[in-house]
Amino acid sequence: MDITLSGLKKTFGQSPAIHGIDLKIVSGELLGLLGPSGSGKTTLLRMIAGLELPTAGQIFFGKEDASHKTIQERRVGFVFQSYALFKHMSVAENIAYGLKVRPKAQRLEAAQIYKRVAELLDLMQLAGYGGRFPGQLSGGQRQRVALARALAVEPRVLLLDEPFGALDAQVRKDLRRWLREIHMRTGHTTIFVTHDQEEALELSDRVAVLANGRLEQVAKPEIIYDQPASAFVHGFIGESNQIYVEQLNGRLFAAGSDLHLQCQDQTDGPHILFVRPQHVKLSQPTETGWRGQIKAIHQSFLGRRVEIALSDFNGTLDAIVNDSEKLVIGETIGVTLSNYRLFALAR
Amino acid sequence: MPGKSWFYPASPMPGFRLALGASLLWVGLIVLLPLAGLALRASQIGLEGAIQILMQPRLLAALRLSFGLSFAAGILSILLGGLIAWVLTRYHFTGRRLLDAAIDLPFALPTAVAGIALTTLYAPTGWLGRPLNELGIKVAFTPLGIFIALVFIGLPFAVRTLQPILEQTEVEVEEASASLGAKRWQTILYIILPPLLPAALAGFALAFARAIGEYGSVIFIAGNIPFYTEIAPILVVTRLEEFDERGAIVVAIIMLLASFLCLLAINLVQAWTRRRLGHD
Amino acid sequence: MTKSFLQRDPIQRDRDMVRESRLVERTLIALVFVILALFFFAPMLVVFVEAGRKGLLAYFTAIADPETKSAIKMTLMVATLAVPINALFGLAAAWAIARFEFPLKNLLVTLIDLPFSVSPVVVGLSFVVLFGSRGYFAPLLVQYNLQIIFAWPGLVLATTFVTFPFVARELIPLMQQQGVEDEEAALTLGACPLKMFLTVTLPNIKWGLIYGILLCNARAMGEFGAVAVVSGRIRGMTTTLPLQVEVLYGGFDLSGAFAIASILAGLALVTLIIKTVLEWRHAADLAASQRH
Repeated sequence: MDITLSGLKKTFGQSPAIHGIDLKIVSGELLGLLGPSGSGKTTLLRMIAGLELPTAGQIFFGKEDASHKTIQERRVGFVFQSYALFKHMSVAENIAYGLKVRPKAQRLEAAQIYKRVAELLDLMQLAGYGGRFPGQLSGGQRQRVALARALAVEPRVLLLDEPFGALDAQVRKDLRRWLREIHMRTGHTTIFVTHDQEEALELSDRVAVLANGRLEQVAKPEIIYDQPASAFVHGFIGESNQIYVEQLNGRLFAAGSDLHLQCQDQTDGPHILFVRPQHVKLSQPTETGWRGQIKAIHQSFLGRRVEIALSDFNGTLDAIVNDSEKLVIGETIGVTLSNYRLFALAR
Repeated sequence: MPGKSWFYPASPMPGFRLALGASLLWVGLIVLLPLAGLALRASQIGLEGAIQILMQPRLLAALRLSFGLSFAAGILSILLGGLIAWVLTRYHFTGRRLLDAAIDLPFALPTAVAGIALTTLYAPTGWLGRPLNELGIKVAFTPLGIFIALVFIGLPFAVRTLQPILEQTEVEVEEASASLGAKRWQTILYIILPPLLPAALAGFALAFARAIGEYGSVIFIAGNIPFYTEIAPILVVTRLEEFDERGAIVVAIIMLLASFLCLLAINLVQAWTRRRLGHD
Repeated sequence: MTKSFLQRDPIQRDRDMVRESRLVERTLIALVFVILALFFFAPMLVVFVEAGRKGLLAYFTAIADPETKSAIKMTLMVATLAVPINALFGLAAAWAIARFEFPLKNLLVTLIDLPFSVSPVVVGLSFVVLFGSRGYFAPLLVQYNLQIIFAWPGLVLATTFVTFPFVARELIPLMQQQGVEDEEAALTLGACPLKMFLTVTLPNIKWGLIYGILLCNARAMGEFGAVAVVSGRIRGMTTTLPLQVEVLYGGFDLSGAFAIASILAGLALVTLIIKTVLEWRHAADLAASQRH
């Protein structure tokens, strides 16, 4: 089921939470909604589910305008951050709930419901847990029950709010991989909200980055990482060094000295330059190139990182370097950037 | 400072012996001694004697009235209490805090004051009694009057046991139910009400136990007519004033047993709930 | 990095989309107002209206009556004896229960709660069985020429039984929730036990303690059933205010009965108001302690 959001806006009282979002989620896609706290990602998800009414704009399920449909009519599978399991019901009763509350005409027979629950318990690797109560399960198991419960009603779209938010690091990793498998097997259109970029990049077909109620970029994970569309996305995703620069007549300056770098747009004025640590290369110092002094070397099992104080203008750079390079603290070196991105700053 | 022994684990906190000793002494003197005296006197009457006293029709009528009305009042208390607790926890409206504070009125108001106030209110000449009288409903000096006094007493117990449970329930759970396709009535019936059941039972038991023993707010409105509006606590006092201590003790023991059973029931229900829902 | 529930974003809701319609909501609110008006506000109003029915002069004459004055004195005396002693005991019991583990602790908790569920008339009867003219301690009392039943000690005993749990009930959960860290810190800093109690424990629980004492006092001054059984209602001697209400009401002196009732109702109102204010304040205190 395609999901199309068109000019979607949401205001709580006086404060706007979502500023007009247009987005199309393709059938069968796994989309990650990524953003910091208060970016509006949960509100967006809740509007798709029908748990909030949009202030303006429309939501289409396929061709059907679902904007004013109730949550019951939308048939979405929603997995809450707190799981919201029914504590007084067993695991099996939780999963069967959505099937049992259907109107008589659409309701499956008891035997079919039983079979469906058994299948889902298997799929969730919860076979044998049907009789337990949520209070007796671990966090990861509860999460899987919540997912099974949402899948039981054969939803048109699966919505997950911070699905791994409350879990330990190891359980998160396992569940992440496993959610990907489930998605491949069931093929539901799935939207999940997360504040964790690693999770979004690893799991999603596409990532939608949200900030302050606006979509910053919607793209495949590798595009988001390699070609961030905005300064916010570049700063938010992955590590980067940031240098404030001035563009004048197609040349870039910092503190009056020419940086000898290519411009990436035509607009003169203040820019911010982003460069990831792995794109900072060390070399012999030259007359025209950047020069810097090594301030600190951090050696860890992850590799070697160097902190460089730039000589020609105020600024420090983090670089990831080869273990084989011989470096001494205080040594003056040359610096080149193998890749970088520039974003114009609003004056 | 207490050392480690079989009796209590080592704790750096001082004053264990003093505090426990004082507590036990005080509980023993003020609570256990009088109740033990009562139990001892009762045992001297013997089972046969007790049954003989119990078989008096007036006593049976009083017990039947007390238990029947207390049961009914407990039910109505829990229904109205549930409604009040729901409104207080779910809705925001002006006057909510005032209502919330007013719930404790029957806890704080002396029962005798409540008694004469309710009687005056529901007497055939009273603000509410007069219109009801014209409809052919007599409240004061009838079992209905007793019932109203017992609901007045029981209501805060019902509200205060249900309120914390309702406050705990997350809106997300209701949202989950709706997202699975449940209609509002299904959510209320299957999701909201079942977790309230243990608390509702406990609230009922509290209101019932309190109603069985209630005296001050009932004697005025009851009229105390034997075989019609004479309830068990009034009979205890009447018997005592007639110097029939044995009769008073037998009724008292039955009331005491009823309240112990209620306490036991509450504890069992709570233990069962804890086991079933696990530790969250 | 593990994200705990504490860090999760608060969900913004306009209004729960899943709940009942506004019409239903307003109807239910209105219903609750009606119920409380009929059950709670109307009786309160009746007390004050009836008390003032014959005018201020009659009101103050009723209150200035020597019997009423003696009932006020008796009520104050009973409360002055029963409340502090129950407060002290409540502190001791709460300390033992909230700070230590010991066998049969639950039994002690149940026993402390017991007076809540025993009928007041049964309480009175129990004391009659002990101290009445044919009671277990009757010979002893005769020997020393003491009287408990039909005298003020009986009133004090019955009231103490009935108001027994209030302070302990208030303090136990509060102290359990607060934990021992503050006190342990005081001990490690070299405070002696008494000093620790006065400078750390007491300030921490003071609102709970005041609250419990307040409830205890309201109940002590208003107790009727238990004291009715042991008092014998000797006018001007062993009547407390609630008993005096009954005496006057039984003698068809309605305005007199309601005049006294209005004093007691006023006491109840003041108790409720202080309790409510403390609860709000309390809530702020607790929230503050959780933020740290």
